Amino acid sequence: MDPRQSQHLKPPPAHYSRSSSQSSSASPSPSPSPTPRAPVTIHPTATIADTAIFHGTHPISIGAGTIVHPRARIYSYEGPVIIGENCIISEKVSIGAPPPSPSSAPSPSSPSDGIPIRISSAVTVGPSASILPGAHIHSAVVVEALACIRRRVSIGAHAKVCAGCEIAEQTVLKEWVVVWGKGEGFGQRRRIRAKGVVSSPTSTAQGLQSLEGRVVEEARLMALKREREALSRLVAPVGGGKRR
Amino acid sequence: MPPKAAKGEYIETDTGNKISRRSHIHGTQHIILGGKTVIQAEAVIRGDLFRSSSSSTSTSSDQNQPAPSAPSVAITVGRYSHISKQAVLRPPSRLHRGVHSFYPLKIGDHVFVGERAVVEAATVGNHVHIGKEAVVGSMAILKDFAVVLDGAVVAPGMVVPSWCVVGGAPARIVGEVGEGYAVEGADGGLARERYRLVGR
Repeated sequence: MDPRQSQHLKPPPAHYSRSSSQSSSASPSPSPSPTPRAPVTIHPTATIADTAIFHGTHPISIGAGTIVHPRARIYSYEGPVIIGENCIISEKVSIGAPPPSPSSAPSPSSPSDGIPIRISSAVTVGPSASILPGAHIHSAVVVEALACIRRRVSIGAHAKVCAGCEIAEQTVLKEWVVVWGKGEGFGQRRRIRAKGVVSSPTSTAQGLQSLEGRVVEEARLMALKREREALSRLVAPVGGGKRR
Repeated sequence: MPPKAAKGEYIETDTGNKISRRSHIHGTQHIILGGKTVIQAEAVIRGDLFRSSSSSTSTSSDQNQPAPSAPSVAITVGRYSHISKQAVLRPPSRLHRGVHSFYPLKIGDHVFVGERAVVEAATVGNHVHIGKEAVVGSMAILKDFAVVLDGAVVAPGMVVPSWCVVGGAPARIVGEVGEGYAVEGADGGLARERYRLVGR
């Protein structure tokens, strides 16, 4: 059985006080549980679902306005996890490497350093995507569902990793790059997103003025803001920290 | 680890739904299961993302409305549908007139959703097969008898016609299902058999 599944069979970690209390440090009680709860710093305006899991030994910090959906798993065994402002982390996302096996303790080799995961602001991570240690994801990146970001990958700002794509280890993606496709046929492909004026046949047929790619991106970020506002009402149970 | 899941892995409801105890179902009051539906372990179903157009009045209306009928439905699943392990069902959402809202996800009868698939479709018809690790984008529509191959990525808003096979990333129509597809007991028509075998 793979470690991820056995992870799930364990009782869930005790729920720390949700985002309502300011910058709550998560683990006040030194419980002898086999899964160490990470020291989590959550901005008061972040929305964290009850069933999101934060395990590990290194600190995890979550910025303002970020939404973490239920069943997201954030592991900081190999280094700190820094999630910036206004991100959306969807369900079943796995950030960081799960512990190698449930029996063996997390590697005590280098508790001081370790390879951090840095996720900048306005990043969207789709359902079931996984991000491994060493990833540095710049602002306004979209990682779609089931995508896999391997170790030590750097993804430039406004880039997009489409659904199911796997970014190999130590890859550096430039800004405004789109990665899509997989499997047989064309395989994985990349292109630079158009930043200038995009004239599409549909827009000219409808008599619309063609928009600049930058304007479209700005509009997307505005839509993302609305999505976060809607989600912050839905993900967090209405009426404070009570569950159910 | 010994397989001790043999006993009591599934909860069976009055209408014959078999739901794994290890499934992750959120917002149960916004989910309708048509009966004889199977939900396997670690499947995530997001019923909590329901339409909240009247969110400003929701706090006042919640008290005087009866619970089962009044709340908006986020996800409906028909009969003999099968949600495999680690699949994600999530209602689609879009920005409409400046308001970001979620729309109901309707899944028909005899639908199969493969392992680790992510379904954000608006409508999934009857007898639809969604392969494992497939992604069905937001507001996509899969008509009756559509087949989504393993690992396919159906783009957001795509409409897959009836009897079509789509595959690849992004998904394109790669063929049609043959005659006799989804006839009871034949290829694509094994939903009842599949239901019977679950939890045995």
